[in-house]
Amino acid sequence: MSFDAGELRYLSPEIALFAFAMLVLLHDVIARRPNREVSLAVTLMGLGVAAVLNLLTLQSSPTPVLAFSGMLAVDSFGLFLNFVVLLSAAGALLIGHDFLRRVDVLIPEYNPLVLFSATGMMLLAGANDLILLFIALEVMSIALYVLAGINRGEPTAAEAAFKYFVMGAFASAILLMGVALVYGTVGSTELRAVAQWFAIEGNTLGATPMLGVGLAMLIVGFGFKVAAAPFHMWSPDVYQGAPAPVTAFMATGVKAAGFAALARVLFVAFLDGKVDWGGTLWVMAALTMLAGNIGALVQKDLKRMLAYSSIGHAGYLLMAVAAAPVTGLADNPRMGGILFYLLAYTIMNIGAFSVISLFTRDGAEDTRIAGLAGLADRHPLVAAGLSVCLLSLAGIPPTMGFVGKFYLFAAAVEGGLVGLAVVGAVAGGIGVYYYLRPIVVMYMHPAEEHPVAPQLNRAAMGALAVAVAGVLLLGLMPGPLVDWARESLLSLAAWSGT
Amino acid sequence: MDHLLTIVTFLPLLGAVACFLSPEGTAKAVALVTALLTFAASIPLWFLYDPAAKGPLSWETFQLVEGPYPWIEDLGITYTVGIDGIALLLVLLTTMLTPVVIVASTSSVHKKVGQYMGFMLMLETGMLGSFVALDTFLFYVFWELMLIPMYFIIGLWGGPNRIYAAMKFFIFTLVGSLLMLVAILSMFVFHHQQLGFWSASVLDLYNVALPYRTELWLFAAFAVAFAIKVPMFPVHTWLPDAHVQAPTGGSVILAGVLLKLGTFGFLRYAMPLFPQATHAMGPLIAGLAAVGIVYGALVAMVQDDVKKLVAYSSVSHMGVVMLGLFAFNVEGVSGSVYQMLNHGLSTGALFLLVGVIYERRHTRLISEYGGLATSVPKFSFVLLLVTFSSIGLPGLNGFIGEALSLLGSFDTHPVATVVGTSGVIFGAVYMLWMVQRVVFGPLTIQANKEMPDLTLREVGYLAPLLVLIVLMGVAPTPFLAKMEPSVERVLVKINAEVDLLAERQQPTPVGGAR
Repeated sequence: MSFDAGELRYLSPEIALFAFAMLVLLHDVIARRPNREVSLAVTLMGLGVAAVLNLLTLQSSPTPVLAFSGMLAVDSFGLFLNFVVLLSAAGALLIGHDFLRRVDVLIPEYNPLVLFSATGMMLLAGANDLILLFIALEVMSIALYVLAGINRGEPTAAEAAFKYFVMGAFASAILLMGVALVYGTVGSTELRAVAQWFAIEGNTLGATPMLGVGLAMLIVGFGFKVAAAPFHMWSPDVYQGAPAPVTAFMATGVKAAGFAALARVLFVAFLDGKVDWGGTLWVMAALTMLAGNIGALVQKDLKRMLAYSSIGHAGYLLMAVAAAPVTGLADNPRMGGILFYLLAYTIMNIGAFSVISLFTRDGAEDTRIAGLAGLADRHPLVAAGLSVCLLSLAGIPPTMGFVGKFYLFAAAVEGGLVGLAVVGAVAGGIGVYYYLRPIVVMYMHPAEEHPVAPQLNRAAMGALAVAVAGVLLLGLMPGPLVDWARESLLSLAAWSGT
Repeated sequence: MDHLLTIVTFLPLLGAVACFLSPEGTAKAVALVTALLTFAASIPLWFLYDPAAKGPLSWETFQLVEGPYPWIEDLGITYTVGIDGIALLLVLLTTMLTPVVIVASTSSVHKKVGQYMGFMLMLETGMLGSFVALDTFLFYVFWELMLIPMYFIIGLWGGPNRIYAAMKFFIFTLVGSLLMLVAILSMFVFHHQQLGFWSASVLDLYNVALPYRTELWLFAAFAVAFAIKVPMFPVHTWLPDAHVQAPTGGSVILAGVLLKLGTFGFLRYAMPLFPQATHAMGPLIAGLAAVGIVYGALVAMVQDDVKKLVAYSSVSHMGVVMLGLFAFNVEGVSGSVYQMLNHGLSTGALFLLVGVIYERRHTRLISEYGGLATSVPKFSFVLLLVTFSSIGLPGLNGFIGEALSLLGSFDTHPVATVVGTSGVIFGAVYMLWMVQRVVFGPLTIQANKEMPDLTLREVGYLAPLLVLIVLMGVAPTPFLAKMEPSVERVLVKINAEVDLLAERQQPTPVGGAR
């Protein structure tokens, strides 16, 4: 164990984010009258600086590197996801800026908390050691527990925060137990060490049930975090109760970071043919796709509907993950779809939530689907923007959501999981029904007597415009991004050799 | 001229954007000009396409090919368009019908005209793209692109039950196409396994040889998607709802072009990609087609709403098209393609005529009419002519298509054809009975007496359809000549493995262990 200060450069994006978080926090404490605009600008600048540093790291280390005695993996897989996380954080900040003023939650810690959480997410995406993974998970989650309950006056938000905290702590405990069991068998918490342990003749999962239980607990822990069935029950309540911008952040950033960690652990440590977790994931993916899409059918609240939809999307992603043990990573280039989809999902969800955040009345959220009635007549551009995002979530071409889903299905089919792909197709067909409903209401229903007036503001509209442009452009010209996603996912193969 | 097909395909999309952005008043003009320009641009296709090109189904036999331009390289997805004789005729049908529909819609659509016109043009791009795409991924994108505008056209400008109808239309079609997407992906993987490179081009995928059982599954996935679109019995139930609720323009495009995409899909994708399965499933599909013909006709007979009657007649007519397709011989398939065009013209015209009287009386109940021959003679004459075309009176277009289809399929599926032909007779019954009740008889209702006859505008947009109905009836040769070589080529591909299959099936009984 030696510490090389030079390796700190690999952490520069995280350090920058953390430094800016402290800066914003100090500004809000020291300034007599904290200026929200300045705070937002500095926070966004922090994200920008982190993005630039991330890009520099990506360019300066073209081959994957392990830093800090194997704690942190610096590979394009993690760096790709860092961008996703930064994007998600930027969305949460832009959506939240005006929203928090309207619901009268002028707590200046919002912006730094988002940055702290994003720091955790980025560490999670690069964690090559189960200990760092756990710490990163907690850094991310603790900030999020606070964010979920930031609107203290609202009982539902308090309930959501509490639920999220209890379930999150529970999941963390299970995960930690899993880490302990893996360590107990392998004698190391480094992911590569697990893979090396399997390489030794006679070391199989069957011979050491402890490791099997450990792996199962890891999967369960991640299952809670990414809201995969049957561990998804908490998410609709939490997503509905939490303030819209926080829900957007939870739905996108947490999902991206959670899947990053899940994929890294499974692909690096457990992908060697001796452990078949593919069947387990097959079942989880099928259940998750169906539970999410069927659950969403009857929802009357947009946020709750999108919560179920987000469960469904976790299912599509698991479908591709489940294909990995069949083919390995290198022989299934379509696995890059996981990264592509996480980015697509982030962009389209940020777009959808930027519209949802507009609907407040007298300081309270009003996110009933029925409240959208007649929106197309009053605000045609907002309605069109939300429609594009919803159609993309439904996977209708020519949107980014379609290309992403196409690749996830391709990964499954290439891995021979045609049955699972058919389940996915059925679930996707069901999904279309509820994604169309808000569109029907916006375009085809007459407005309510006292319609909720959407509180248009520049920050959220900017986020929506960028999201819509991204969804359409990257849907039509996905080529370069697809290539980058594929290369990034393949960088994981450098660690496991599969 | 190098990019004529691309220009024809995307010109409407540009017009659609212009329509969405332009003020209400000018949108109609913008739409009409775009549609006419698109039509004008598509006319050279007729002359540039040379049916004489010889050779098997391959890149050489598709013409005006653009591409392949790489699009998403790692799966071999490209932008490639091109036409054969079959696609040529369907493209022309589409570019011809769209301006007609736009003119017809000017009097029936009053709210959000710009959006309506925009969606109509967007739909045109989707339809044209589906016909010209030679890349399966590109085809799928265009195929789905049609859904959104049609969904809005039904859902925003439709009748009282429009939202239900729009939703049903969307879900039915999408569930079918998602299964097709999985099948397309499987084809990519099989192609890569067998030929060593990734390609999404349909011409490359034709080279994949699959075991019989795999073919059956993949064929089923494609067939369900296309059968829903056609629509075939028993997945036709979305059609009457969609037709009845859709505004006139939507119905015309739906019947005129959208349904043809189902049969076109069979001919371009499902059948040549999976020849063994096609032959194995032939009797089943022919049987369902025959059931559809009779069922559609019987249900049409008892309708008291004219539009619903025409909608069910579509189910019946498309059954004839399917029967012809699965005849696996040149007569049957050419007749079937011919019948696709006929159905587009005559059913399109019927929906337009229903729209004409609906605009005047705001009812579509047959009992509300009667004796129109005396009050509106021009309308009555046109209705009679179109009806004759629809029931296949010799001398008009319908006869050629129907006769060829049934003639061809009698060879292959005699029982189904006999049943189907009886349905065609029912077709004559319900159509003529409808005309009798609407046009002839005593003129009793006051409102009908005061009904104005066809205006110059209405005559104007009906005229091209009527001219083609007569022209294609008396001089079918130029049309058949354009498509027949293409039909033959597809048939060679479909039938190539039949003899093989027959040989294999001789020694062991069907279903026996192999």
